[in-house]
Amino acid sequence: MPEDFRTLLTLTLVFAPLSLLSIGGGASLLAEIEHQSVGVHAWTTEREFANLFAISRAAPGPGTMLSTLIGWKVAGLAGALTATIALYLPIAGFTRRTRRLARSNRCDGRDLVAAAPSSAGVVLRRRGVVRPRRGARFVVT
Amino acid sequence: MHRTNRVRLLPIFVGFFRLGVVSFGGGTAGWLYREIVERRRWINDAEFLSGAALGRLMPGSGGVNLTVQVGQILHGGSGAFAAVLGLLSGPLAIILALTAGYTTIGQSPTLHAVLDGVAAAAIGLTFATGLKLVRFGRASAGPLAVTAATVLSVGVLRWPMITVVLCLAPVSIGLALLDRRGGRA
Repeated sequence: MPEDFRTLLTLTLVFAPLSLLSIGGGASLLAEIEHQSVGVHAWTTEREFANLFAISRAAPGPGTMLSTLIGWKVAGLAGALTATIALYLPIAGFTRRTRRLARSNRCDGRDLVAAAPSSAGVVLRRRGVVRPRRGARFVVT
Repeated sequence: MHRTNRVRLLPIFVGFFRLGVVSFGGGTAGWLYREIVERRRWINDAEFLSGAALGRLMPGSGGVNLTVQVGQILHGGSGAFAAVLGLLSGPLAIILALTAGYTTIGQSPTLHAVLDGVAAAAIGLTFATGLKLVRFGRASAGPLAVTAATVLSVGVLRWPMITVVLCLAPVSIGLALLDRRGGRA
């Protein structure tokens, strides 16, 4: 039991901080997830990692199910749930808070750029993408 | 501020469950627009756009971030929870079933070939997204240098990503600020 718990804790400690760094979507985490899973914790071999990556991309849904699969490989269903929650929950809460903050300050989409976390260096460069000038742009993405 | 409970929780869950299952190949925002804005008319264009803008701005999956916000608009905090739960639970079940299948017949050479093919395509797609983002960054020397430094240190030298991003993000922000000021003068 303590051993299981330690594994789940490690999964959480690996994926939760990553979620806050995944600027521009889950794909930016790929290198680090690979490094952690194959190199640091030896959760998968390189071969297995490539397979899990392929499976995660073949299934529907929002990209980053890779963490779920690694959690599954390491600790079964509990691991899968832990890794998923660790990767999505912090940022979901963060987004919700930022939105409420933006709304209570009567920001429109344009001002939201200013409300972005300062860790998002990339974001400043991408403000042209983010600014809601024309509807079509967002529909496509 | 609380203009909540526009839609009940179960329909929210069901709506986003459907969305999660049909949204093949990522691009959740586009699917969400079709399903939630055009088909169900739960939110209007302006709400969708501000959600999509903030969703892309925040770290994490833009699709999940957008879902959190739409759920929040529809039914407050519990709506956000129901929406994300709905969005993720379908793909989660599918992906675990696929993996279980893969572990049972793991040694089949055909399966390995299929997975290799899918992985190659997915890597190509990821790479293309990266290139597109570089182009969006108004390709000037500063941002390109930061991009190159990130690729080099994380991808080639294999330094831990968290440290690298924490070091390079301030540099990138500084460059962007300088760039803006220069542009205005």
